[in-house]
Amino acid sequence: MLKNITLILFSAIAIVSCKKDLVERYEKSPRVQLNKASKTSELKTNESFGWSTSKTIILNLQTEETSPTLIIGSNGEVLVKALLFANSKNEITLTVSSNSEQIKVLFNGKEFPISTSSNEISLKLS
Amino acid sequence: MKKILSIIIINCFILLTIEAQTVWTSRTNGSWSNGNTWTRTGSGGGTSSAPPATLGNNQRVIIRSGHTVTQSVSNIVLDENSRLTIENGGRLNMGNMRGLSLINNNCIFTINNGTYENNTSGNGGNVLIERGVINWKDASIFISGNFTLKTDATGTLENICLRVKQSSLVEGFGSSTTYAVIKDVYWMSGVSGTGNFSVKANAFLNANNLRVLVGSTSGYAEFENSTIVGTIFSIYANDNLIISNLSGNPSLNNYCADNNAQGLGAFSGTKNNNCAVAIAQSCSGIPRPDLDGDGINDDFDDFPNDINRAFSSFYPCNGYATLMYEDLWPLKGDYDFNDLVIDYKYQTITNGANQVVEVKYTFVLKAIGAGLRNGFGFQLDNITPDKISSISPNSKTHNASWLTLNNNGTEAGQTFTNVIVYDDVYKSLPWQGVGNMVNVYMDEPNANPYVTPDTTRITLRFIENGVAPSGGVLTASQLPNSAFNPYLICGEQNSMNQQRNKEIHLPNRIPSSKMNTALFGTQKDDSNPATGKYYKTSENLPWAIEIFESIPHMQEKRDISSGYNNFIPWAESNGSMFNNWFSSNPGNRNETNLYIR
Repeated sequence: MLKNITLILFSAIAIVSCKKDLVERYEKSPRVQLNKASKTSELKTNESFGWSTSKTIILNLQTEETSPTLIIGSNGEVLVKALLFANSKNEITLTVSSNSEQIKVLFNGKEFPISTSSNEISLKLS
Repeated sequence: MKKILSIIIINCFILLTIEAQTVWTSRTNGSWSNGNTWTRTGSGGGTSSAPPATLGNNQRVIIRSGHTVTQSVSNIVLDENSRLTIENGGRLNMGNMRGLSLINNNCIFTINNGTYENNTSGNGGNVLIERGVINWKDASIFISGNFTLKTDATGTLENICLRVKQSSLVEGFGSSTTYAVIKDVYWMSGVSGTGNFSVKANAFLNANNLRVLVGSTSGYAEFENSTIVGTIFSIYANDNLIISNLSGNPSLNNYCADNNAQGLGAFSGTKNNNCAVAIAQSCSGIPRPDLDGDGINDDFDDFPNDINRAFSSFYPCNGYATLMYEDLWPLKGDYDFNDLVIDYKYQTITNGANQVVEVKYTFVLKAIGAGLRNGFGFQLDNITPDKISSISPNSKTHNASWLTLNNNGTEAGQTFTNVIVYDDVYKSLPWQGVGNMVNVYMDEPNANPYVTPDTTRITLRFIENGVAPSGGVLTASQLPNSAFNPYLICGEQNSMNQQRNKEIHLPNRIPSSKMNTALFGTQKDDSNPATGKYYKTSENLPWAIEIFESIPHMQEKRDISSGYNNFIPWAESNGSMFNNWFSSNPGNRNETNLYIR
């Protein structure tokens, strides 16, 4: 009987400890920062947050052949059409949705997929 | 008398024969299925102002010089005695991976110095010439799927840049009595990486300077059980080259096969051992049409008949973006973000040197949830007014006393280019109910009737008729989308006027030269020009937000978070979570608080 009571006590302590640990971990996680404000006027955000729903990407494209290029968005839409000049700095600035993860550069019939996780991308097309 | 009667009968017969044909001739750029794209003549079959996707007996479609017709909805099929003609400089753009087929012996597809293309990044949009005749001359062809020519089809391909994204299958094209003519054709298969090129099943070809390139990554070329007379200039295959039971004794100048080359006994060509170099994915060596001579081949040129224009790009690339403002700055507002709601988009047109020729802006004034009579304009950051040649037509201004324009239509007294779109938004979207707000109340439609949004279009011409402005030209990279800096001009309290020196911009966007910078840092504003912080509170709250797509705005006095459930979590996560909070995805919106018509 004593053995059973001891087991139950240990189990209860273990469960409470685990729960407390879980609560602490949850509170320390980024998720706990969410949903504190009930309306917009109560919000407080980082100064670095720009409230933007899009992002700007600078492409530096190098090629050895002067030829037109297409920049294609993640849904197949044409973002930019431009002429790339051989052996020159071809800088193209794009604005894509902040949801966008990948774009493609079409050049001379080839596709070059590019991740949009970086704000500035250099690519040699060959 | 008998002779006269005969003539009348013959003439009637001729007239009936002529009238039996229906012809749709393009009269402008546009969609295949839009009647405004076409002029319809004749009365033989079909009553629609636009041609059907499947052309039937005596139906003919002509795409005229300089017109681009887009078909993104259906595949095009030529059946019975139908004709499709792309004339000098015309273009048929097959969007959304749509394809084209010829399925009847009497149908004819003609391209004369025009373009057929699939403007898509995916694989699809097959072209099947099962029967009938194709006559392509001086043309640029891009097929994003397979290209198949079958036994009952024939025709002529002359001076063609032909790019096939997947495989080309010449299965019995031509006949022993009428050889199909292939002259000066640069024929690329597998331009996306993998694809094959096959001539087989009793094809009869009269070749002259045929250049075949197969697979930028891998792909085989095969010539089997067919007859080819004339000259094949080159065959470059990134995989095997297989020749088997080929008659006609054609000559072959160059070939290349990275793997096996089989059955070359009939040929005496020179083997090139460097396929990777040989397989350049371009049509160099084949003249490609460039009608306007701007250096951009017509298959890429959005304006093939205009030497001053080459490329067209849109922001956003689809639809509109939405701007939403609170207008009590530097005081806090109620965060319904509907004091001014404007959708906008713009089209940037550049020339063959990537210089900006013009930008066409479209603004849709949707709602005013404000008591103040605000205005609206935009600045092009870092673009001086002398870079603009002219602006037209006039924006929706009404002789506001504070507004003075330069000769080119930009606002005077500004360091950078500023354009005033509305000097008083209420004059362009007047209220028609109780109170003084427009399109922000859903619950009393009789007292607050819906007002059709105002659409205003403004074109900024940078290079006009090929002539640069006094400040010189701008390249596209010098005018990024981030230069567009829209702002609200605050109305004056208890007045019908505006305060030109009080602007509200998107967060961290710089004001124009007209702004009274002494207002920064007052009341709830925490702007600090020295650090680049503008139009934010000390809690980093904005007075304006921009959405990358068009979304419904809030009803009056309803916090934006009550309509967009994930707005607060998005902001609290500093944009790392719920970054599609504005989309119509399930769970994002509470439509009872949105203004939706």
